[in-house]
Amino acid sequence: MNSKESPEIIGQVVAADIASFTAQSIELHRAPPLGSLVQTDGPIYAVVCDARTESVEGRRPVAHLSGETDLQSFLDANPHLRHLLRTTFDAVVVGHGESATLRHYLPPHPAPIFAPLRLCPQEEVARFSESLDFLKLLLSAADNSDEVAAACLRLASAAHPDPRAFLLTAGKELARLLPNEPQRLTAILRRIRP
Amino acid sequence: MNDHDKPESQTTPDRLGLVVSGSLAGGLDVRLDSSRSVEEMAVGRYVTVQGHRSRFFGIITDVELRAANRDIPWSLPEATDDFAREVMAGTTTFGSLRVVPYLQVRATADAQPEPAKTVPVHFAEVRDASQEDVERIFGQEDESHFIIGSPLDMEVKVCLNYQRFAERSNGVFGKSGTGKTFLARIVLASLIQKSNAQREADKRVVNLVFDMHNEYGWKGTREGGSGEVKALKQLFSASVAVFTLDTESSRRRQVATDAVVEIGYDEVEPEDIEVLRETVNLTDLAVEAGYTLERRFGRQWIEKTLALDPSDEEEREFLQRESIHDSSFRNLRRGLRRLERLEFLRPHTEQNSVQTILNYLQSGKNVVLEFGRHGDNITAYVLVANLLTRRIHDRYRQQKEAAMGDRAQEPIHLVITIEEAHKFLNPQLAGQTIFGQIAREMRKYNVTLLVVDQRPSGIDTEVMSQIGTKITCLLDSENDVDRVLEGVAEKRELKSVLARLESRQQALIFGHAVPMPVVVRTEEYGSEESYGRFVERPFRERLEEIYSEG
Repeated sequence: MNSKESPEIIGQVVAADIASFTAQSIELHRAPPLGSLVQTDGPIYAVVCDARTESVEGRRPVAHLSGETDLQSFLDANPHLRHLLRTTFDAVVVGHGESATLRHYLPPHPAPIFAPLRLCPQEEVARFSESLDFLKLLLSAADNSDEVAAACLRLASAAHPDPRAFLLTAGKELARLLPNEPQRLTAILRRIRP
Repeated sequence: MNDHDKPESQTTPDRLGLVVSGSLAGGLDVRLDSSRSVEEMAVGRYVTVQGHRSRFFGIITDVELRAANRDIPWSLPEATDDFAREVMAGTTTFGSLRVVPYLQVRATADAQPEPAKTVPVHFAEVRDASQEDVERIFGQEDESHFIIGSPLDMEVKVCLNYQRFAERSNGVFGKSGTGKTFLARIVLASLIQKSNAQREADKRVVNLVFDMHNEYGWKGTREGGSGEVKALKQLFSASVAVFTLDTESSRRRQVATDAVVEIGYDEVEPEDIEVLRETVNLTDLAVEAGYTLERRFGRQWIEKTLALDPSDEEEREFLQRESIHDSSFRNLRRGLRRLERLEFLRPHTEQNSVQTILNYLQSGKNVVLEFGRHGDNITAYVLVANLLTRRIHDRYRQQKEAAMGDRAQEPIHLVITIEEAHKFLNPQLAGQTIFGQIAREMRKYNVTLLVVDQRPSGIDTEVMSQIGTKITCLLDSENDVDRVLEGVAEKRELKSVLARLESRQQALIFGHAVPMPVVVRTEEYGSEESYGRFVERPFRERLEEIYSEG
């Protein structure tokens, strides 16, 4: 991908294994939305499945509002806090690129630490979600995988010219992947219903 | 994405689904594509299945709602919104078809359809049959094929093979009001038309119709009961003769008849009385008495029997001598008295009705015998049909035997149409009546039957099994359906098709004259255009010539 056209970097990988990685967000509180498709150079594609903001030292911050009425002015009044806190997010690896071909299965190597992360632009999302094979990886990944899958499909549908048709096809793929879990299937379907 | 769920743009619009399991004996299970709804399907419809090496033709015999897992539909009471339903259609839940493969065509260009001897491979594509497919199977109308109707949901015509139809006895069945007469009329008109078109004499047929309700001769009632339609004589004036048993009725209906049929008592033999056993309640002993009396009195036996008075001492002694019990005699006499009331029966007639009819038939003319008022009298119908047929068959047998294999000398093939056939062909009578014999001997003596009946369960099994082509409208009794389908390989499947015919203008046709069973909407009959189909071709061409010159 031409770096000039590359979207802005949103984070950097800080821990990685083959099937997932954790990245730190460049800006505090600015993790990509749940279910969004991100990519490292390489590229490795992953779906954001969790995010958190915590103290850099690992201790729990102590609340101390001093007259500010909103978060932004509180942080402005305490600029050091931005250095004591960090926002990280987890992502489930759902595919990778091999030369120009998209592979909807796990890459041979994990994402390198410190690799920069970008949010996939809409056309990339559309291209990647043309095949729904990645749903299997998504459904078997995290604890809240159903929520992640639903969020991912909602976001991806916006990248397609006919979102309903896309969701219908995705729904059918889910039905095939969850043949014996009707309750789980209907729960997801309710979450992606257009 | 799996192949079985390609979006519609990637599959052809006539694709229905894929074969997923099945057997030759039990039929194929076809999983419907999710884009196709079970509600679009109909039993009786034609489909083609594209296997690896052959193309198969089959009929949908059942439509079913299935689920990938049996319990799923039950555990999803809330899955009621449109989106969820749409998603599950074709994945969790899906429609399936049962398709019976009847014919297969191998991939070579000139391959002819032959009976299916195997099934297509897994995941073979199932499609709606196209017009060309149906034409390929049933042939196009020509000298040896006549149109009977169109398959459901199709414009193309289904043809019966004239030769194959004519060479066996055939049946038209259906409960009353389903259009049996209407169908039989089309069949008869087509037989006459095709016979006239044959160049070789041994391919021609003539019809003798015992027309119970005056529907086949000059005009008939329109289907549905209002108005009239032209019958055979109006369509083929040169090759049809109308005979009547009831001149008064014919006059009232303004039907020009070619001859009046009268029968002399001296023409009636005890065999003719025997078939009336059921209709006039004769006991076995009374029938036996008839034979005894005939031996004693000769041809005058009926008149003399009616004149006997058992109260007379001498005559009682006579009966005792002949070992005829008084009650048997009274039973017989009561039966004969009922015949006395039939006006077409005379003590003696000069004319020989059998010979007249035979002369017409042998000159290639079709004969329709109208019963007039007597049509409602089943005794009259059974008596006359049986009596005439017995004599005519007898003559045919003599002629055929005399011809000794010389085709040119053989009598022209005769098709006899009888209505209420179960009265002649029930298990008690089929062994005795001439009709049972004709049905069983096939076309040995160049005579076959066209039986029209509403209660096929009353027809003897053996006779039924000899019926070549069966044209069956809706039947509502289980027994009737069973009897019609007896001996058919796909009985269970066809039964479900038969049970779902519409009550009018639809018929299931199977047997000798069609390569595979077919459900048809019967051909329209009753408009000028429909009559035009039957106008003899040379005549029509002549008319066109005249008009083009003018």
